[in-house]
Parts: sequence; C-alpha cells; structure tokens
Amino acid sequence: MKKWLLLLLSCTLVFTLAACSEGSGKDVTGGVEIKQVSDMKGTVRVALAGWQLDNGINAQTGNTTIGLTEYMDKTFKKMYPNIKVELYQIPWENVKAKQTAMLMSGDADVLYTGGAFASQWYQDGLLRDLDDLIKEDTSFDPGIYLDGIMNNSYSTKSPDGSKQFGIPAVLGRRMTIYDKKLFSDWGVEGLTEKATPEEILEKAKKMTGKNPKTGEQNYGVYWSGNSLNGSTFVALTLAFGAKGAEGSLKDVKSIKWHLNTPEMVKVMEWLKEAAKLPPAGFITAQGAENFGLEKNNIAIALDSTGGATMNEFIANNNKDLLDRFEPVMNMGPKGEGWVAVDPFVMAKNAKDVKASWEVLKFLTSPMTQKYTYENFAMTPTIKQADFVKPEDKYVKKALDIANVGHSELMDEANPFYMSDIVPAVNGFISKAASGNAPDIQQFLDELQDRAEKWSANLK
Amino acid sequence: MIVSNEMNADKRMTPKRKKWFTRNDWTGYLFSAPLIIGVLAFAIYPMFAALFISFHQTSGLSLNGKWVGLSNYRYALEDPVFWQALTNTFLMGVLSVVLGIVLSFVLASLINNLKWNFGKNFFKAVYFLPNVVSAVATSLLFSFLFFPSKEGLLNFVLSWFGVHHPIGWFTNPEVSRYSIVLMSLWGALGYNTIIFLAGLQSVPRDLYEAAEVDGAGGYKKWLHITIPYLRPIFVFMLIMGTIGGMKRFTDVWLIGGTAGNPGGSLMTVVLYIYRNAFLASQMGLATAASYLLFIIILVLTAVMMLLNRRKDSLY
Amino acid sequence: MIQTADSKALRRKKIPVSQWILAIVLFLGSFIMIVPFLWMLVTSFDWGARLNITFPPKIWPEEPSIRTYEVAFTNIKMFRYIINSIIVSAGVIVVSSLSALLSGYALSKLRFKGASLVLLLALSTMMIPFEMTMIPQYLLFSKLGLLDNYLAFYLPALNYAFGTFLAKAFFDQLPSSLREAAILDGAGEFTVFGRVYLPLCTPIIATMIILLFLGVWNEMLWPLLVLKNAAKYTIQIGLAMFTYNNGINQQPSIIMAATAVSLIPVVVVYMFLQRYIIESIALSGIKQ
Repeated sequence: MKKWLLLLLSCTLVFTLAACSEGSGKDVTGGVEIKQVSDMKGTVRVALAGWQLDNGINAQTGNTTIGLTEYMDKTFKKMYPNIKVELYQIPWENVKAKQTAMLMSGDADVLYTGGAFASQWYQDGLLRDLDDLIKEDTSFDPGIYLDGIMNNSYSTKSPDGSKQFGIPAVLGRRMTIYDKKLFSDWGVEGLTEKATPEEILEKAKKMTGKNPKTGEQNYGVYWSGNSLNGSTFVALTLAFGAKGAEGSLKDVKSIKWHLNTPEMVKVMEWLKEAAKLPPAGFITAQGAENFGLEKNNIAIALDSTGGATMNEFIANNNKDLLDRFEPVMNMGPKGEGWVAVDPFVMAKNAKDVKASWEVLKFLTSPMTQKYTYENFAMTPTIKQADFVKPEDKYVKKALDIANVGHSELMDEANPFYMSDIVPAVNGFISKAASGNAPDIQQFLDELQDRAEKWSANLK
Repeated sequence: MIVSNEMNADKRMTPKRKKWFTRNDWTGYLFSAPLIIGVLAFAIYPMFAALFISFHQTSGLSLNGKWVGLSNYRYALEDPVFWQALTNTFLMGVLSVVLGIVLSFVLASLINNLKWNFGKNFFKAVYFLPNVVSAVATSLLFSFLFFPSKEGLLNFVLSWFGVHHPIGWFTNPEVSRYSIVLMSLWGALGYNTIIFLAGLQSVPRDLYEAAEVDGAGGYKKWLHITIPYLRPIFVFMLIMGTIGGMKRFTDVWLIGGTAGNPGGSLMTVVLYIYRNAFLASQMGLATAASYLLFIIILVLTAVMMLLNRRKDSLY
Repeated sequence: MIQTADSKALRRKKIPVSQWILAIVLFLGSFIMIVPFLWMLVTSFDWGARLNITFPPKIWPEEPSIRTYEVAFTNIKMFRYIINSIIVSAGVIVVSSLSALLSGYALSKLRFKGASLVLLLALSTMMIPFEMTMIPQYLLFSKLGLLDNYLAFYLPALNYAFGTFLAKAFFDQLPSSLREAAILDGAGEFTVFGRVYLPLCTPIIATMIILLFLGVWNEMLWPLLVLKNAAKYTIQIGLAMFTYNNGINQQPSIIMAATAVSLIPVVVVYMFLQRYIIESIALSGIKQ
C-alpha cells in the first residue's frame, strides 16, 4: 500500500515539474527584435478577464500555447525594464463583481473586460478618460483600429461620443457557419450570404434525421442553449426587428420595455420550432464538440467561431476541412449579430498613469494582437491585420459583421437583460426542446410584467 | 477596639461583593475570546447587517443605498422566480431527505445484520467514500455520467434494460431535479448510514431479548423496537437534512449555471440570492431573500421539533 | 477444549444462506457506488476522450495515455491550487480548533460568570445559515480590502461553535481535580490548559482536524465569492472555473484527470484514517 502511494506521489511530482518547466522556446514577437524603449519607472497592476497567463496545451491539437506572462517577459519587460507589471487573471464567471471590487478598492490600474461592464463603470465614474494621453503620445495612432469599434461603441466611447475611455483589443466572433458536406449529402442548397432565420430554419428542418448517404444521425441546427449573454437571442431580435426596449442605458430606470410585441412573438416562435432540431445536449452547451471537425453531424451552427477548424488547419494543414465549413453573416437584416467588443480601460485612480498608459498601449498594439490571434484565436480589432492567415475566412467574416454592428438594449450591458431575460429565454428553449414550450404570448406578457416591476423597484 | 473586632467579624462573614468579577472570570473570557469575537463578528454582526441592508435599495456599486422599507421583501415574495426557486429547493430537499433516510436506514440495517466483521468495515468504508468527494468533483463527474445522449453511462446501462430513448438527465426540465436528487444520494448515503449504524449498535440488547421471549421474529423486532428506539436519530436527520437541502447551491450552480437551467428547474433559493447579489448587484434584494430563507429554516425546524414533542406526549 | 473446537468447526461450516445473500447484495450495491470512480479513472487516461466521451463505454481506455494529465496540469494550475488548498485548510484548522479548545475548556472547567450565556449564544448562532451571513461578510471584507486574502478564511474560522460544543463535552468527561491539583501547585491557567489538559485531547483534536479538513477542502461557495485572482484559487474553485470557462461538458478526459487529482489528497487521507473518520462522523452525529 505504501509503495503504491509512493508511486502515485512521484508521478504527481513528475507531472507538476513537467508542467512548471520554464518557457516554451517559441518565438512571440514574429521575428521583431525587442529593444529597450525607455527606463520609465512604475508599477502597473493589470486585471484581465479570461486571459491565459501561463503556458498551456491546446487539448485539440496538442500544441503549446504561450501564456501572457512569458509573452510579457519577452517583450514588454525588455522594452520597459523598470516598469513592474503585475498580472491578475479573473475568470469570466462573476467577473463584473470581482473587477468592480478591484476598481473600488483601488487594486487595479489597467483592466481588460467585457464591453458592457466597461461602459457601466465609465458611467459610474470609475474609469479615466484617455483622450489626454492619446493626444500627448505621438507614437500612438488611434486610426489603426476599426472605426466602428473605436469610435462608435459603448465599450470604448462615452455615451455622448465625446470621450474615449477604452481601446478595443478583442472582437467577439459570432457568425453562422454551415457544413457543405452535410448540405450536399442531403441535397440542400447552401446558405445565402445573409441567411435569415427563416431560411436557416427551413433548411435545418430538412437536414435533421438520418443522413441519406452515411446513415448517421444529423442535426439541422445548433446553438448554445445556456449562453450567458443570449447572443443568439440578440441576433434573432435584430432579424425580426424586435427592439425589446426603448431608452438608453444611461438612465436604466426610465427604459420602456417592449417585450411582448408581435415581433418578439416571432422570435419566440422561431426558437420554439428550432429547439426541436439540435442534439439534446445543446441545453447545457453540449453536443457540438465535433463541429468544424471531421466527425461533424450538425449542419448549421449559429454564433460559431470557426476556431476548431482553423486550429486543425494550422496544426495539420487540413484544407478540405477549411473548404467544408463555410461562414456566412449573422442573422440580422444587414448580417449583424451580437458583437462583443472587449476593451482595455484604465482606472480613474490608477497609480502610475504614464506607466499604465504604456502597458495599455502595448496590450492593444498590433504585436499583442498578433500574439493573441496566433495563440488563442482571438479576433483582432485593427484595420490592417496582416498577421491574420489569408485562409482565415472566419476572422474576415467577423470583421465584416463587426462593421455593420450596432448595439441595442437587448444586450449584456442591460442588467435586467442579464439577470432575467436571458435566463427566461434559456428556460423557454429548454422547455421547447422537450416539446413543452409554454404559451408564447403568456410567457412574453409575464416577462413584460416582470420588467416593469423591476424598473418600478429601481425608482 | 471592640468596635473594630466586630467590624472585622462582619467583614469575614459578608461575601466578597466588591470583587464581582474575579480573576477566574477574566481568564474564562480570555479563553473564550476567540470564539466570542468570531461569533460577534461573523454571526451576530452579519445577521443584523443583512437585515439592515435588506431594507435598502442598493444597486451596482454603492454599498449604502436608500431606505425602501419592506419593498425588497415584497419584490421577492411577488417574484415568480423566487417561488420557483423555493419550490425546486423544497422538492429536491424533501426527496433527498426522505429517500436518503429510508435507503440509508435499510442499508445500515443490512450491514448491521452482517455477521462478517471484515465485510462490515469494508462496506462501511466503501459506502462512505463518496461522501468525502467534493460537490464540485461529484457534479463534474455526474455531468458526464448523466450525459443526455446515448453516450452517457447511465443511458447506456439503461439501454440494456430496454430503455432505448436516451434520457436528458440534466437537460430535460422535467427530469433534472430528480437527477440532482440521485446525484446527491450517491454522496450522502454513506453519511446517514454511518450514523444509523452507530445508533443501531446502541440499541440495548435486552429490549430485543424481551421481544424474542414474546415470540417476535426479526421483522417485527425491527419494526417495533429498532425504529421507535432510533426515532431521535430519524428526527435529527430529518431536521439536518432539510436544513441542508434548503441551502443547495454548488451542485445546481455547476450543472445548470446561474440561470438554473434547464428551464429554471434547477434554480434554488441560494442560487437566487447569489444571482441577485453578485450578478445583478442588488444586495438589498439578495439579503432580503436570504432573510426569507432564514425564516423558512427556522419555521421548518420549529415545526419538526413540535411534531417530535407531540408524538412523545402521546406515549 | 475439544468440544469448543468441534462447535467452532460446525459454526464455520454453517454460514446461513441469508448471510450469503446479504453479502452479495451489499457487494452489488458497493459496486454501483464505485462505478463513477472507475469511469472517472478510465476516462482520465483516455486521450481519445479529450473532446467527447468514448462510446460505447469501455473498461479500458481506447487510447491510453498520460498526456491527459499533462494537459490538465498545464492548463489548470493544479499544483498551485492544491498548495493553496493546503494553506487555507491548515490555517482554518489551526484557528478553529484553537478557538474551540480554548472556549470549550473555559466553559467546562472554568466556572466563570456568564458562561452559560456564552454557550447559549454560540449554540444559537449555529442556526444562522452561512448563506445569509455571507453577503454582509463579503461586503465587510471588501471594505477592509481583504478580498483575495486568505485572512478572509482565517478570521471567520474563529466562529467554530460546533467545535466548542464538542470540546466542552469532551472536557466535561475529564476530571476537574487535575486542574485543582495543578493550581494548588502554583500553575497559571494557561499552563494548566497547555500542560495538563491539552495532551489528553488527542481524540477530540483528531476529530476536529478531520471534520474541519473535509469541510474546508471541499468548500466552494465562500472561495467563489472571496477569491478573485486565479493565482489564489483553492482546488475546488480552480476546477470549477476551468470548466466554467471551457463550457462544462467539454474535454471530458482532461476534466476527469483534473478531478481525479483533486480527489487524491482526500482519498489518501480517507484510506489511512477511514476508521477514524467514520468514528468521528458517527460521534458528531450522535452528539447532536
């Protein structure tokens, strides 16, 4: 018994040593030589939502990914050797509460977060405007970022459009992707460029069942049924013109809710029909593990990223796979969907403002965006992202969608949306999936009622 | 001189009222200081602070909101989500407790009847093992075991028995709560069994012997001696189990997320509190809900204790 | 002598059928209880299950490999999380058991004014659910800037009323004469406690250590609220966050590998101390 224990302990030791081994030996700068830029002093504490600090292994391809710590050691540390950068990784769950706590207690100088949270912090006066720093810094060109995202997004600009508080770093990628092979197996014509929900539903219905060529079970459509931000729902509201609410996030109390309109009914009807088609696991975001890969059995995936396919392509040069999975625009009338813009922001009471600015600038720079693209398939926010592989049609599509994006009130920036609408919709979907969808008008009337009560409670 | 003697005599006879707080008392409080500090700071203070906060409207960042009286309580009591949470919590709690007590009592009786000592200890150890597994590990494990398609182990096993349509254990709102009950039974069975075993071994032999003299067989003995004798344990488990059940959070949070998916069927009261406090930043509403939870727990305990006493007086 | 040997032999032959059936039934039941662990282990060593679970379920991994453990250790900072859990557990155990032993001793042996009130206070606060106190407690620590600080675990550990109750009951069974004798010899109260009574406390200390360890190691709710920085995570919250970020039901073998490792310390402790643990649980249950 003791020997077995010893074996177990030594195995554990071996693994942890292996995992703790220094460095990956990989190049992070793309061949650019890093030289010292300045000996500015300072301490900057950076709180990042979701980024990976340590090196990791991509489970799908088995390749190593370089964590932010090693990347910063090889780049920023050399450029500014006297600036001490402390990195904190905050996971997405509950991130708003945690980062808010850090802002309030003055524990973070630079933050990376969801756009909606940033805009709320700005309105609560917790963030510092960046305009003066941008003006003073001649080496910084705000023009390298996509216009719509830099200048028209609530995630980076003040509601009245006059002040800049965030620099966009990562674009959310959500598009409709379909599997050409399955379409051809079933003899269904491919999706059009701006496939509407109606088109998707109609075609998906034809492709759910036993595949005529392979005999395998196929599913017409897939989306994540427990998504935190209800992105598919947002896209549907855009497609059917169901605004859901009227007003502005500046004054949440006076938002007028329109949740039980005929357009919203159409959204729910679509969900009710469509919920019968995906594999049962979609309620808990299971069932699509093979999408974008060889063994895929889902014809259309909504709000997809194409990440798995690109990973395979990069790892094994699988061109067939790349051809097979074709992206189209999201479901809105202009092809829009829900586009997340996640920025870097600075705390109002940042300790070393100048040093913090250098860190912020660096983490949103083209070099860093190249690094995050190559390691984590994050979508860049700059106009000329020539590090994006030419074959990566998914990033291109994402940028196209971002170009036509606009934010509505059915959005994660809306607190009632997050705490009540999304769970209610997800609940509706899971009931519909087992064939027990509640009466739509009643459901929406109740939701409208709850929204009005919620607003009344705020006053 | 005579006067002073008398005064001395008086001093000796009257008790030492001057020193009303002896050195012994100081020591006692010194020793108890850690506990007292802990109780004051982390039980008493929060209890009143929660009450205080629940009368305020806080949103987002400000820790001091404005006074709104009972409006948070009213909102919670009128909120269908709160009631759904309550219903779910209750359903899962009662089922877990009842099934848990019955099954573990049967199990304990079986193990107790086993004459094989090595087996007894082996079974005790094995049945208790799942109890030391954390709720996180259990939930992760079962989310795969209960995978809603035919790949899930449970569905696979069921297909041997002719159940070919895979059940969405955690994805079908009708079934999900029962799945949670099953999952928590796995972990909790051993715990109750151990306590029952200790109780079973404490039943005095002469009670059984007297019954045997009267001609009672094994089953009758079990029904009329063992069960009534162990009634305090049953009551204890009922109370503790229900209270514990009302606090369900970790497993439902991992499986269903903060929305209590699927379909809000896994929404529990603590999940409701957590969601309002940390996702919607409504501390006032959340503490109001937590106070309602507290009251419910108190009421349940009182009811059960009353029921227990009333039965006693019947004897 | 010969007679007893004979009767023993007779007894050994006659194991009633009912006992056999009992044993078999219990074996089947225990097999069902163990199956989840088996599946976990098999899947954790299966490189082929790293994206979805293998079907049909196998008794031996399809692609046996320890790479899953390598990935788990690399992607989830298991080592750091386990160390953190150990640090938190150790601190809480020390604080809680000291608080309980000291106060239990005082309530039992030192007849001081208001002792019964203190006991009553402590016991009644056991009714207060953590789920109610957690929000003000969180706000308090937030205001004090102690979030993400392990003090947020150590300070509330002072309130271990249940331990006080156990300790008092234990001390009640020890004679007071020891104390009286020591005091007559001129010993101070602390010396009496430390030198005379504490050495006798091994059983109750062991019980408390076990109960506290299991409680803290497996805790998730409070760490979820208090710990913001991933470097400070304890193992449960680290595991939970990893799966949350990745989607709970993805990468089965990686998650199973991580889960298996998170169970190792508890299972090891259990294997060595299982008799003791079971006794402690039974003791604490009966006491209530």
